[in-house]
Amino acid sequence: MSKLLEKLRQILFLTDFELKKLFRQKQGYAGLIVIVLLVTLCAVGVYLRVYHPPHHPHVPNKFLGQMLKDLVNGVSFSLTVLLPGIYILLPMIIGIFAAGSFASEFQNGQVRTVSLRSVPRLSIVLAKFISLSFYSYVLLAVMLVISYASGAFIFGPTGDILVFGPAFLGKESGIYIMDGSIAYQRLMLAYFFAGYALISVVAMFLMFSAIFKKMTMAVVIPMGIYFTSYIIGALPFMENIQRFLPTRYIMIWKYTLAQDIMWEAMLTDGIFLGLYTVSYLIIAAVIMNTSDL
Amino acid sequence: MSELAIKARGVKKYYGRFAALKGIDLDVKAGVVYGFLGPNGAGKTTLIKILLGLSIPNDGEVEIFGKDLFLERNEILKTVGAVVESPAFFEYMTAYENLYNLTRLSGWISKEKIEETLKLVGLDDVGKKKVGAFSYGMKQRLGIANALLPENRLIFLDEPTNGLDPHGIMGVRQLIKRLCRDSGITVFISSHLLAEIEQVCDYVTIIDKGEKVCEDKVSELVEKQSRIEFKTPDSAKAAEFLKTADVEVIEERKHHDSSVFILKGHETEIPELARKLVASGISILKIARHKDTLEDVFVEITGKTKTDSVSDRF
Repeated sequence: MSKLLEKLRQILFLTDFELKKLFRQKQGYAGLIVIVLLVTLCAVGVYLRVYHPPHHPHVPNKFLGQMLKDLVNGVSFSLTVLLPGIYILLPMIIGIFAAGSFASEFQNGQVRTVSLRSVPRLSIVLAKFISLSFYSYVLLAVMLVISYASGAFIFGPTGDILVFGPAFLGKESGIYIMDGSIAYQRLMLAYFFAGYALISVVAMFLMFSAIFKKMTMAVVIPMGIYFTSYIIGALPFMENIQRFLPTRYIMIWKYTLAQDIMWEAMLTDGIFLGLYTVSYLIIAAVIMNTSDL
Repeated sequence: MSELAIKARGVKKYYGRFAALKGIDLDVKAGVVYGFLGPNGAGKTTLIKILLGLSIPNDGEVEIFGKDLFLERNEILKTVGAVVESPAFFEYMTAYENLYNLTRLSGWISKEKIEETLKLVGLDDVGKKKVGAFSYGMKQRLGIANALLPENRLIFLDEPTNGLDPHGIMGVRQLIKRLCRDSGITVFISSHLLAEIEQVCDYVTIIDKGEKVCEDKVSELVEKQSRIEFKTPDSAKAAEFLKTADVEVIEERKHHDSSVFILKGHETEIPELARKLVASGISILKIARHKDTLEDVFVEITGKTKTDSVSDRF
């Protein structure tokens, strides 16, 4: 029992140390700056689309503008920002930070300095995973707050929202209007599961950091795998391989935007995503344990 | 018999087909400064990493203070510290923060103890400065401070004076001696600097190409290599004399107008030799016991000669 407590204490101290490292580095705030940039550009884009809609030959400008004004608000804007954020931006930021926190510490010798202390190597991997997962949720929370606040300020705080099914749930889904009374709840669920997906990205980058132990390789290789998976996932005639791609389950949060939440699909994807995450961590831990530091 | 701080048996390490360590045995008594000497690439850092559990040997057993390293590493590391290769810290944190966060992983640590240790290594003035602004020498000293905390009984220092200026080198050497003398800390130093080992260490193991070639008390090792040297302006006569005399000439160093002959023999033989030289009409400018340095010992043991070109392995 005391040994277990001792291990928990060590993981707690290591996680605390990792968090201090993340937030003490100025580059730790680079992710926040990029998020602000994304939200700002999206806000300008949506504002122009709503208040200065382009001329459409079959729809009178006045009608389209009124429809968008009615259905775009803080909630829908925040969801709109989440899509590009979770596809590319956040995995990229998280990936670079994960590699920076592990591979570059391997490269510069800090992993050895920490390993000279009375801590199991597995704890080092776990602490990095926990702290980076927390950081992922911090980034998402910042994105949620900024995007909702700016969306609410420009377009209004709440109301019914227009869900473009094809963008979120595939071509077979249609466009529908989500009732404003459930929009907040869906928004929170979407961000929560986006965080769950990002945790898997954290684990993947930690695994590659443990394998390569060099910053450049630990960024380029998993980033390459990640984007290649997206490309293959979007190509026709690749259906048989798509279910095995690590990115296949990253968009788990999209099921929260269906008219009725697709719990069964979420559970399946959630299990696969969890299995991927655990596998990445096991590989990272095994490599860490057997590496010469 | 005093307690052994380190006991290693048959430690082997291979990198592919290259044997970095070929079965090293080591017995390091507690409370001594132990030197580990060898040229670059001899396997010093590899062995230190193995003794700290940073590297996994292909074969062998290691005990630290009687505990099996591979079974009780985490327990052992609560009282063992080290600076291996170069000191690596978190540059965006202060020296104090680095020490606090790292030491906390080994157990409880007080603010006073950290400040005391910073003072001990001469970094008390810069404890609140970020490590990124430190010189290499300051980082080395911070590394030693980190190795000492929380209250370690054994510290490993891998080439501890690398990158230090002469004052820094003197400071570190004095610190090492003081730690051992005043606190009873066992210090295990690896170095390729023979003078450093000679000045600081009580015992030494010499390693070359992954093999232990010698292990002894530094003073005895130097003493064992008894030599007599004499300087004479009559170089040719002396050379002729030595051919017929019952002495072994180790080396002849020729100078502009004289030669120094280094002979095998104890200092008690000096009076007799002096008489014979004078009787043979050889002038003596100087005759004395030749004080071997560890460098001489090292060269002899590892089978090199001083006339060899300067080894690029140093």
